[in-house]
Amino acid sequence: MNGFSGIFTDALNIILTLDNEFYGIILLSLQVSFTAILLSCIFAIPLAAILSIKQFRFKSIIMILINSLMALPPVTVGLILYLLLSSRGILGYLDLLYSPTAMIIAQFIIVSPIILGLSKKTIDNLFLVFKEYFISIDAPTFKVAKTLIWESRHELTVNGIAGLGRALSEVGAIIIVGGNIAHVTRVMTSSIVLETSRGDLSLALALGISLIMIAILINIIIYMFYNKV
Amino acid sequence: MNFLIKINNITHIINNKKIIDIDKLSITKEGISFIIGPNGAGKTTLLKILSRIIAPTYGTIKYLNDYGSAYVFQDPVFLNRTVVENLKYVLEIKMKKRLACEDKHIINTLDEYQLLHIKNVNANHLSGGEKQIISLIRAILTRPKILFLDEPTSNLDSIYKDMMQKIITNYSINNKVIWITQGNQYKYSAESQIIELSKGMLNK
Repeated sequence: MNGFSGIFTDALNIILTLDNEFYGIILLSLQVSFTAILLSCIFAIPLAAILSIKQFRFKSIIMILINSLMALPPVTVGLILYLLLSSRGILGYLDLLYSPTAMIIAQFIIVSPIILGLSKKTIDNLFLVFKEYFISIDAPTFKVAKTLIWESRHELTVNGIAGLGRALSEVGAIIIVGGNIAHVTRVMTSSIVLETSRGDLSLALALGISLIMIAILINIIIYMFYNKV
Repeated sequence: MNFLIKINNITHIINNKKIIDIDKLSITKEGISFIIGPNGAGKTTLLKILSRIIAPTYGTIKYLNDYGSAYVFQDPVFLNRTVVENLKYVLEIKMKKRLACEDKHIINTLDEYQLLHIKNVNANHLSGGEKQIISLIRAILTRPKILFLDEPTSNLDSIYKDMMQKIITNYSINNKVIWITQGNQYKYSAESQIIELSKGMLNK
């Protein structure tokens, strides 16, 4: 068996030789996580704006619920989604189990409360500054929500990128609902788990290095955005 | 009826403390009504109640008509956009639709006050005086019938102070102005109404 340096050299070789299977896995990871984040942002950001602006009964209970969901264990999400999507589940007829769509749904459920919670905090801060001004000009709720989202777009993008990091590094849920099928639902994190257990440490390490590189890239983007803000 | 706004038994409580406690107060129909008093007298709270920005804890407010109004804050806030875009924003909301002539109206107004050179500057990057004057222009741009002013000329140098006082005085000829001021800064005319507050109550 190769030592660490041998495994490391093989891993670099996989990265540099543009191995098809390897890049296919990375591409699928990015596709699944980017789609999940995009859908989460479309769903959660307007909802966060409404939650910031509107006062209604049970608002504090909803906020407690959202904050609790921010720490949702991915394996539990995966398990519940598996029960729903399996052939005997109530959503079994959709035939989505072991598909990238199921993985996107899982990541959407995991990431949405995070995007929602972070976005609400961002929008709350801005609304506090502008609240009386908006009342004084009689601005309608829809217009206020739109303005607050636009005015805090840089911070909201940073929140989205943080969510993307969480989605990309998640493994518990996607391995359950995706099934880690080669060329279909195999993504970076599930491959690392599989290849490590199979003993193919160079591919696992190559994927691990790529995951770290992507995380660093995300952090560079966050840093650049914060500087712009 | 010789009043524009009439308040009855208004009490406003924050953290178990009575900030405003006024039995009766009528705001006259015309001219300028000055709200004066020491710091902490409740002037800003009263102005926000009169302008319906905040609702009083108890009591009723009666308006002669549903007039359009605008409020100039002591510390004005601006969207992170240019001066023109900030002015356009309020026009769009107040007029409830996009106006074909809104750009021209804004440019003409800025030109009238010799402020055209700052039209494309981010409003948050303006000096304190420029911010206050743009905030006043933003308020009168839609020609509100009632203009609420919360010490807009405090902390301004004499040039900006004179300029703002001139704009406000002109505006008060055809419209109602309710103005918080620290006193001594402005010559009250015979038609002016003086509302003196002390510890949230009217000084009689």
